[in-house]
Amino acid sequence: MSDMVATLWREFAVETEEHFEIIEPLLVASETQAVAPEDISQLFRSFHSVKGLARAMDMRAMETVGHHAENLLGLMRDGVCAFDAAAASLLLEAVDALKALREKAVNERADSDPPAELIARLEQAYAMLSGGGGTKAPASQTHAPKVQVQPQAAPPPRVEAQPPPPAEHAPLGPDPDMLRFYAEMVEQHLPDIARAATSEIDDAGARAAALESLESLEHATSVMGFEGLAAHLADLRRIVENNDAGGKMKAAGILGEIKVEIELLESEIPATITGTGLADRLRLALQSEVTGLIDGMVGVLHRMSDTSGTRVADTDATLAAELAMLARSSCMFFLFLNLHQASRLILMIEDVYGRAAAGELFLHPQILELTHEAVGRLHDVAQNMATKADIDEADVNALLERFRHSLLFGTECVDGADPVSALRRVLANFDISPDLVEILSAENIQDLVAAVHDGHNNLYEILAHFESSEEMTLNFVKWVKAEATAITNRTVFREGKTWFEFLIVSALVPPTVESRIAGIDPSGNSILVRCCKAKAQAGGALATTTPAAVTAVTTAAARAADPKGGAVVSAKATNVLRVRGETVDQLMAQIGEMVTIGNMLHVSASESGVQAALQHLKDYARVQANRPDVMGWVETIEGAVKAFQRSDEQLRSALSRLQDATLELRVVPVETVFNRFPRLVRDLSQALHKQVRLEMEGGEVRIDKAMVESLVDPLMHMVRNAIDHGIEPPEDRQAAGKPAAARLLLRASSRSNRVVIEIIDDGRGLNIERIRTKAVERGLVGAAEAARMGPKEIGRFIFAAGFSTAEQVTETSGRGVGMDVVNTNVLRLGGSVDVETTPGAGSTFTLQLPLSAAIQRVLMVEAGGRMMAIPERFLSEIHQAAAADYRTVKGRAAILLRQSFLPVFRLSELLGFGAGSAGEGSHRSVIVLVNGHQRIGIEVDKLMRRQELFVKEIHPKLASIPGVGGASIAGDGSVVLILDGDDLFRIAERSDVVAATTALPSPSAAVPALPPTIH
Amino acid sequence: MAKRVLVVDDSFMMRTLIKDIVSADSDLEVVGDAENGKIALDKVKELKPDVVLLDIEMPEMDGLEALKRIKLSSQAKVIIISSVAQVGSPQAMEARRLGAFEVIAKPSGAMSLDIGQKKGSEIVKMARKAVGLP
Repeated sequence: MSDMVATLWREFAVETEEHFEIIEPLLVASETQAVAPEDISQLFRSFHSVKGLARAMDMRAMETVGHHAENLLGLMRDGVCAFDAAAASLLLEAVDALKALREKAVNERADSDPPAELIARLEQAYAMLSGGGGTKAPASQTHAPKVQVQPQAAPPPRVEAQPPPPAEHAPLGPDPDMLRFYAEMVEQHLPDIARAATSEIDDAGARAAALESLESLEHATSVMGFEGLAAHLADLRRIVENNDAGGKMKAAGILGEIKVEIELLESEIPATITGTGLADRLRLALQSEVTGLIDGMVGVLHRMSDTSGTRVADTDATLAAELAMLARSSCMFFLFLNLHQASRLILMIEDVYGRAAAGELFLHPQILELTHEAVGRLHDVAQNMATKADIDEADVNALLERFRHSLLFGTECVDGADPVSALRRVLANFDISPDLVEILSAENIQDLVAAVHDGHNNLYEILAHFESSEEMTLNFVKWVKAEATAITNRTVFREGKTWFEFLIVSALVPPTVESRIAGIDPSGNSILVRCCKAKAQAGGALATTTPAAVTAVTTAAARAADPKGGAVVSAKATNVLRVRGETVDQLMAQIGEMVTIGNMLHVSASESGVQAALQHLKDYARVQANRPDVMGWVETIEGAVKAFQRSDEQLRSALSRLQDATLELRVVPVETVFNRFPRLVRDLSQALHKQVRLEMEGGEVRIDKAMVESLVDPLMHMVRNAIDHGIEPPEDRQAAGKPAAARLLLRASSRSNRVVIEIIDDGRGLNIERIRTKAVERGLVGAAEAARMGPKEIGRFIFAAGFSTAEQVTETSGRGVGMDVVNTNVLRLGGSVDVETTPGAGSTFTLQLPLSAAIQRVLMVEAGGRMMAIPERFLSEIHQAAAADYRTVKGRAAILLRQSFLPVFRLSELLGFGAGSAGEGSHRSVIVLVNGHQRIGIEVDKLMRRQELFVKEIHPKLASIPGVGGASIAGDGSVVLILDGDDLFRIAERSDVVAATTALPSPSAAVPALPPTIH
Repeated sequence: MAKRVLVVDDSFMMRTLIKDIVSADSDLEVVGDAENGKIALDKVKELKPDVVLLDIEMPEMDGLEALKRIKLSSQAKVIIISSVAQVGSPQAMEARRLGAFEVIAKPSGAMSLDIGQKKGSEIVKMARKAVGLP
């Protein structure tokens, strides 16, 4: 059996189970409430999936049942018939059948005979509901759910007479959905594309986005058959690819054409699809937008003029940046509106203020004035957008000319050196082609100078034509990433081909680079290399430029040399990883060991002996021998100890984080437990003729996966109990003035590191008096004591061993498993269970569980020379008793604690480890354990510390020792027994031959029963 | 260079199986998978596959809906692998009309349990045909 097949079987088991968990609650819910269409779709999909999964594993019986269920649901999904209770019931039967078949499939990997009777009924239902009246489901004629053996080699059913697939790029016809998607795509991509005409396109990211949008839209447009528009998009794409001077203006022109095309298109797209027309919608949106932007620009200009008396460079830069941004945004809109002259004007404004913001030019008052004028013109255009009137071309030309003139005049006004030209001067030291220098941003230049000025790197210009081979492209990019740094790149057209020109820095010498390139491009025609010799003192030249000046020139850097826009970066892993539970448990166990080792380390780190020894050494060095050299050694050791302790602290916190993170891996939503209940409640209430409305809350609360299985039984039992005993028959409920249908609520919530699950019913509540009587009958409590106890305390007796109040043994609850078993199971999980009841109004059972059953907080103690751990959940308090406090009550040691006698047992004796040295010290440590109403004292030799232990699976030999519940490894590597508090109580009870109440000659009035005491 | 394949199915087991079948052919490379149509659209954009193997019944966005959008936004060939789209079914016809390259049935046990056969399987055959491999 190959791994693959094993994997498939495992996944088959997991996924079919998941689908059943989806299907069942939906079906059960559907019997009492209306089914939403999406639920029917979900049911359909789940049955369909089960069928597909079964088919893949050759489980024909499951496939057949799944198929028929799917057919039936298909009718309901398509509205042929309504979803009713009868159908739900039938489908539930189908689920039961599927579950049974799945069991066999998973366990034996064997197919079964299809349940013929059920299939016949499913077919019948299908025939009836589809209105055909026939006995065979039509869909099964096309499908192959044959009961007989399938010919193994048969190809999947296909009919050869199918029409051939449509030719590539053939128009898909006026499919309204397609048109709608297309309109959506256009809408989605327009903003990216519109940037082609703005200076944003100089940014590599924006360019990549625009190119991608153009490509997608171009493709979609030709798929739709709109060839004219596709051609324009292709033109625009080429312009963006080149991104050369004047490209933006050309792009603006083409965008105008595209706009016209889209308007034309709208006559083809029915208004019902796009709502209002696409172009109209755009225009409507743009009109208010553009007016707002222009108003914003006017506002900024006013603020600039206000500060012009006292010019502050920083304020200017901020305002200029704001203005540039507003201009950039509004430019896009003008282009869409085919207002070309207005966009030319605004592009100029954007350019000027963009540069001003970057500190590249000084905003001369004349420029401000000009801007005022230009914005005024734009404002007029925006106001009169309805007339679609643009500014006169001659006017714009004149304005632009005046701008350029002012700029020339203005730049000369900048005091001192222009940082850009300073950097350009640095570049003059390198033999780089002027075209490349032109596109270098300030950051590029910094990178370049930093890489070259130490003299170890060489600078190369590489011209590459990538269209010939994708593999070569990939190899080249890989090589650059591995052995070089790309400074910049650009696209050039030569001899009708697209080339990429790269400027790269590499430590490799020219012959090596040439041989590497020859390896990537054996033809030698597609990649050309030229080494640029760096002239002397490049670094020195850089020093003449202040860092501030360099950083002042901020241009969005085209850093990466990856022409595909990062396509070689491996895809993000977004899939859910499935790990087997055991794997996580193993990980958990290993982390547990690490925690243990960490604890050992911590013990060493906090070993008080070291400190004492050091102190002795210090005293010796100072007083006894006057040895300064020894003092030095002591200090060295002290330093090392401190460092060790610090590392220990860090390790501990890292470990606890690791532990928490791993704990997260183990948790699953409580839903996985809750989801089993709708079915149970349905079946039970039908069997018992009761009406129950099940509600569930907090299904998202998470619990340890290991706990799920152990939790199901106690919960099931309590739910059974609630329905069987708690909830009255409908007629009784109505007689009591309650609605006929009872409410049963399962509610989960999480409180710090505990999970609380409540089972709340509005039934008759516990019969407190009967429990009281019974408790006395069973000798659990004295009659007088019982009479004093409140309902809450009495209620808890139902958890006592062997306690049952059911008058008759019913099929559901009287299985000999009482609430005491629930209590025991829950305690074993480290949890607790409690009940609250109001006679006539219902009961609430509350389960409290730890987040994880594997990690327990314990108190470490020593007894009889052994280290042992007592889980904190059993601890009530710790008491230091003097020897004089001990009394003998009925032959047992006891101490008086808060006016009650507490029986005290020596732990080593209880466990049969021998008597040990009893009561030597003046004070003895007594741990008070609590179990429900009982308390006992456990005397130990030594209290150690509190800590967390990872509970290991216990060896059977150890498990048989009474009182031992588990084992772990202690800080020093020795085995620590984890004691079971319940067991200790039992041993204590057994060992205590003298029972019942004995009053002591004592000044205190009330001396309760001993032992164990019951409060 | 191997042709890039994207596998789209809501079942992890089906994805595992189909990926295993496809990757047995060295001319085909599974570059990713997706569990519903919505994720598939993102992956198509990100991974630029040559072939998309697409299930029909999926949550979030079903296969036919995804097919329309994939056809518009990419040049990838789309092969529908579904047991709903039995040949001649309305879904199969619709898939064809919307530009699916081929509509084939989900792999059945005969194939998944005999790994040796999968190289010549329908899926591989169709995927090769879609990208023009012999």
